[in-house]
Amino acid sequence: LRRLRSRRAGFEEFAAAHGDSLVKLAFAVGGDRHRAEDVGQEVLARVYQRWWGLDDPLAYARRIVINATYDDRRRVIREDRAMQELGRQAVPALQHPQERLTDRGALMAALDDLPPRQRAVIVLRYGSGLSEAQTAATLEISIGTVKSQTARALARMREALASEPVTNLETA
Amino acid sequence: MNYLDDNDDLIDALSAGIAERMADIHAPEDMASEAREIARRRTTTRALGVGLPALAVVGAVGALVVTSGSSRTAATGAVHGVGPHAPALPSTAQDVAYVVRRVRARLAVAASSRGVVLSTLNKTSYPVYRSVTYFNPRTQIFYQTDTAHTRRGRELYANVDADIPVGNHMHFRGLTINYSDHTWAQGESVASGPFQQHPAPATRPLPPDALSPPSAIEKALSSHLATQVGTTKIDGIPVLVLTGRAGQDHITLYVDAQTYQPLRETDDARGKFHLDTVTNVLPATAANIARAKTAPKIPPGYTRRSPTS
Repeated sequence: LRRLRSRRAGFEEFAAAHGDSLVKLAFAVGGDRHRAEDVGQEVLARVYQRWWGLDDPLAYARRIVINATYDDRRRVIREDRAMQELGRQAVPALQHPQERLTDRGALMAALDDLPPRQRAVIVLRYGSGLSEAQTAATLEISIGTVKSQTARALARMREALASEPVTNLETA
Repeated sequence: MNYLDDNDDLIDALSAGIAERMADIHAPEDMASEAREIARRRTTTRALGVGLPALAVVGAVGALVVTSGSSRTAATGAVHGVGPHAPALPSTAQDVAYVVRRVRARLAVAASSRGVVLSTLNKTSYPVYRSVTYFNPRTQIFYQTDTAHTRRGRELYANVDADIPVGNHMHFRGLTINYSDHTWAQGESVASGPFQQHPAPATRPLPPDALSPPSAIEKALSSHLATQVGTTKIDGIPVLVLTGRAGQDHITLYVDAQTYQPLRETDDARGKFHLDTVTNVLPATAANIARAKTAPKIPPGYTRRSPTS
């Protein structure tokens, strides 16, 4: 019983310290507020289930957030295709239309348009403030891949922004 | 300054933009407690993945029945009651056809992969729990029956079955019969996913278990994740006796000496919560699957207990 109580106490402490940041991460990568809350809850459930076997619960939780949003993206794409087959309009995966009206909005729209892994790398590096090594561990890729994905993502965003009538973030 | 030409400025702008976007995003207050509840409810699946005994599964079924009839919203994420509070299902004929196509596709896969039947006995102490589980790892089809025996005899029966996940939802049904107070209860719930086709990889290597394929057994032996400690026979079949350790849990696995197919697993969890279980792996024949699926008749005179009581 002490063991069970200790798990509960440790988990409560973990959830209080990191619950917010996990939901924010899910939102930054996936772009849907309600889904981000679902993902956050799902991730905490899995952390609780595996509490005894986790060396680094936060790294595990971040990885599950990213994987869940990948799964979401794949599901949305599959369902969009099915809807298109049925002659119905596909629903956009990401929903920040108001942001496109501002300069920073264009930047964030460029972020949303990145492929999932590049977006995850950018959000983890510059949104969650993880090092290259932490990002690599979270995504289970090499540090070299983090560097190359980051460079490609930034180049792609610059390219996208070049086609937007945006020159200065100070106006955002 | 034009940030398009300068990576540092672009990165600063990204950091500020992401921070601004996330500023008003917060975890719901009850997220941690909801998560714990979901984790308890999912113990059935977890039991298959890491070899927890039937005791935990019975607990999960209890939770399933008790929570039936609740009506949480999709936004908070988790479990919906069925019936008057059924979750929003697709309403158009096209959507229904789409769902049906997906279910049929999963069933086709199920037909090509029979899965396994596990017969588990938790013999640590009274009550003794016996369970029979059918699980298909590829399709997630799942049936389980549990029976608890005390010194006075059979006291509790529980049965749960879960449908193939459709999209983000999996439908569970459960029945419990309490032979000691002559009551029974039945409940249904829908759990939200995502449900993976295979268990998520563990953060540290775990020894093979009754659900491991022969290739994983060979790999575990060559990587010293499992050690051969002897040979014996089960029902006349020569078997290798392998041992492995996951934390404080000690696993002994008996595999066919020729095919490396697991035939039996014994778990001895020597933590503060001592458990001793034996799991036999049976072929997924119709008769064995029926043992996991078929519920007994409710004895006459038993009263129905409210799912929320």
